[in-house]
Amino acid sequence: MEYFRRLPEFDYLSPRTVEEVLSLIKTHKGKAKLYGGGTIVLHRMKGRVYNIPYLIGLKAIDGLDKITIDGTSHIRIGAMVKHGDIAQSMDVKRVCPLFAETCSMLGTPQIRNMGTIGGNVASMFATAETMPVLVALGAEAKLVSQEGERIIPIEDIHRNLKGKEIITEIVIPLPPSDAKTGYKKFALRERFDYATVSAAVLIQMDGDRCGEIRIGLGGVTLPTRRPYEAEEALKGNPLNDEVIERVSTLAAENSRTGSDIMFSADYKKKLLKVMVKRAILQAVKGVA
Amino acid sequence: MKHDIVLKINNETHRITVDSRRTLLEVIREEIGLTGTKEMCNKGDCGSCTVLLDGRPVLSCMMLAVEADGKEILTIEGLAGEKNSLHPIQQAFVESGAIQCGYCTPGFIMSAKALLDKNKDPNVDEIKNAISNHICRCTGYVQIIEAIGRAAKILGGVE
Repeated sequence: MEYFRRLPEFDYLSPRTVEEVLSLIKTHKGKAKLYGGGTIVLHRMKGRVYNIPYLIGLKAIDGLDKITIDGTSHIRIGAMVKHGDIAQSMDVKRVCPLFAETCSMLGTPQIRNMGTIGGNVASMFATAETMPVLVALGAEAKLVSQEGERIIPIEDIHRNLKGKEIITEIVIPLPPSDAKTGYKKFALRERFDYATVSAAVLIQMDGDRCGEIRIGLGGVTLPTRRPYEAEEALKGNPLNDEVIERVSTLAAENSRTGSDIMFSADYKKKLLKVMVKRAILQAVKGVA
Repeated sequence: MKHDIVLKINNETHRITVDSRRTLLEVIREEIGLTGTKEMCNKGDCGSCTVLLDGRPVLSCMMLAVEADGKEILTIEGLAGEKNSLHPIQQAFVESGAIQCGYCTPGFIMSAKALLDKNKDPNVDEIKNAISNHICRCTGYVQIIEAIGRAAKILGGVE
């Protein structure tokens, strides 16, 4: 891919409210991109993947960069909150340490100081690193358009997010106090690279058997981010080695992976199986 | 589209007019004339262009100048003390032999500065994490990690 050191010509628009954003999207339909942290959009502009005359910057909008705890039920993270702010937020660390940890493992300090959660979710990258944990936690995205607002489960966002909409908020239900969580990612260089594949789990036990479970996968095609069959196979069963083996095999086999310059699609499935297994073990036994 | 912006770079206020397409890196180097901040990969991989924006390290090649309007920016030039004396982190890099061609050095030092501002006594793992966005093709990383540890000691008055 040809990559240019200089950006093409465009106008940077800096609306102050979400309403202004929506009206700019309408005015410049098909000719504008939303611009959050910039790490993805500028890369695509320099690579001339995007050739558009307008960028709609979201940095000047009040209220999109707040983290709020909603009583004892939800944590609300504005779309423009940076990964580093989530990783360091005392509130997130207290009520949802798994998500703080995930954000602290993503990219590098610079990327975490620039990239936003809304941008990561909206990127629709198979490797978007906040996604597996958000899926496991049962998070939802608030989408706003001129027609109004709607709340969409995060694993369905790829089918729902329309060009006329903006993600304003990610809403995460607080995990129940007895919930067990785990997250494992595989990256060549742990501290820099995108996770080739990753897996997150949230498990609630029912006695010595698995009650509720949600699994989120990373590095897989978007519709296979949540392996429902694997979740079903675990429910009502004891979490012994044989069950965990069966569930992680199922999760990996039913997912779709793509080959890239480093790894074949088949190899990624093998890795994915190991990540699912380790994430479950981390959740139930606290071991890596 | 032109934008009138104010950049506070190394405690000096610059009122300038920039085009939308200009990155912060281009403006720092070409408009302001501070060439200590380096351009290398220009796609967020190498860390050479790192500056501190309101105290936090960012990649100035992956950011528009207009986005930095009103922010405080610290570049490598802002570290020097009186009569252009070296900052303790720069001194530690020299003493540890952490510089060879020197091209990546300003970026590494800005990340080290951000780390040591928050964490007075980082361990090796914390240092590695802080410089994880940086690439050095000459020295390897051993001396650089050593230099940042040494800088922490100098700044803490131990050495």
